Amino acid sequence: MRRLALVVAALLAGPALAHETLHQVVPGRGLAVRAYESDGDPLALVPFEVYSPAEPGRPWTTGLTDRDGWLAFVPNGPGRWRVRVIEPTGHGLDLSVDVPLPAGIAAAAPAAPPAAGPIEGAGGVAFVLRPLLGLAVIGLVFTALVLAWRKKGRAPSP
Amino acid sequence: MHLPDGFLSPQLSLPALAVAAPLAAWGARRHFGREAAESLPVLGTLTALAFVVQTIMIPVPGGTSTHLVGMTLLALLFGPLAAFTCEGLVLLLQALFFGAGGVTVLGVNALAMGLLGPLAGWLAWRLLRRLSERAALFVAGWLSTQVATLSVVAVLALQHRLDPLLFPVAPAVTLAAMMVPSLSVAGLVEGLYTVFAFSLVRRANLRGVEA
Repeated sequence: MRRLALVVAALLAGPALAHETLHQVVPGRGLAVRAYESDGDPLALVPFEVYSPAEPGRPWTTGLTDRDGWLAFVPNGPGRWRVRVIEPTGHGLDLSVDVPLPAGIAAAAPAAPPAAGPIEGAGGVAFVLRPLLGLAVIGLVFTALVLAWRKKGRAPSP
Repeated sequence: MHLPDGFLSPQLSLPALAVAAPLAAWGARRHFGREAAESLPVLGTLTALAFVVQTIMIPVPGGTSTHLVGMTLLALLFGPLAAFTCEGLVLLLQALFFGAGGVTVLGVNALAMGLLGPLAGWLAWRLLRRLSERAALFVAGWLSTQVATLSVVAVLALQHRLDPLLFPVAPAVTLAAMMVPSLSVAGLVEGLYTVFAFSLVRRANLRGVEA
């Protein structure tokens, strides 16, 4: 009877061990990307796809960005990884992230990415400076055209 | 509405560029040339204004945002080809300097936001202005936004059909995600902007403006 009990216990222990889920915490192993609009608003809960350099035709992983617009993945090798964030409205990102070496992944990531809140440079000064730069270029183009035509004189009347 | 690089295959982006490039060249010759020198200051100012209004995000319930285009106004004042040429310049700057919209999809974006939308608005205005000018201006702005948005939806749906890997979102989802903000917010704001801006420009009686 005792033998039978031992056999049953051994048989039950096998499957129980096989179904045990373990985990490993490795700080700095992953890569994080934040997607946001030009005014600093995050692309929150938007589908994303990550493609490995080894298999560019099939997503390595897919998911949704978090509420702050962050997505993260763990590259399994060096190379140019492709990250796509696709809003149903046709907005989004399609960018390449260079992963130098497995050991250098932490170095490739930003030194201290903010966990939440506005991205540096996205709002504030950049939000004002970028339209100003565009305005300057448009102003320059049209001023150059006006000056050029003034210098050459008006077109002869038909 | 600004499609980024990487969402459309060359099957769609190249024909669009092939159509847009000669049109833009024609538009530049006609509206930026010597014969149009008198209207260039106003055209430049309104292009700059359109550039600014396109950077201002208008929040839409549901967590997304939209923006004005401002090109219907140029179409009504100078013609749809002028609007297309100016929008091409705006989109080029946005793509090169700010990453708003892609370079490879410049043709698609310019044709949708610079030509098809403003052309529809211009036609509506021509048709309705005798009945009520203000209503015609509002409808022009509103319709322009809907046509531009629908054009982008159609291109994305076509891309989904050609290669879902490039744009995996189902056409019905894209249609709802784009048309709801367009019909409820963007079109109304564009309509109001067109009414007020057109009235202001006309009242100012600027040189080089015929409308």
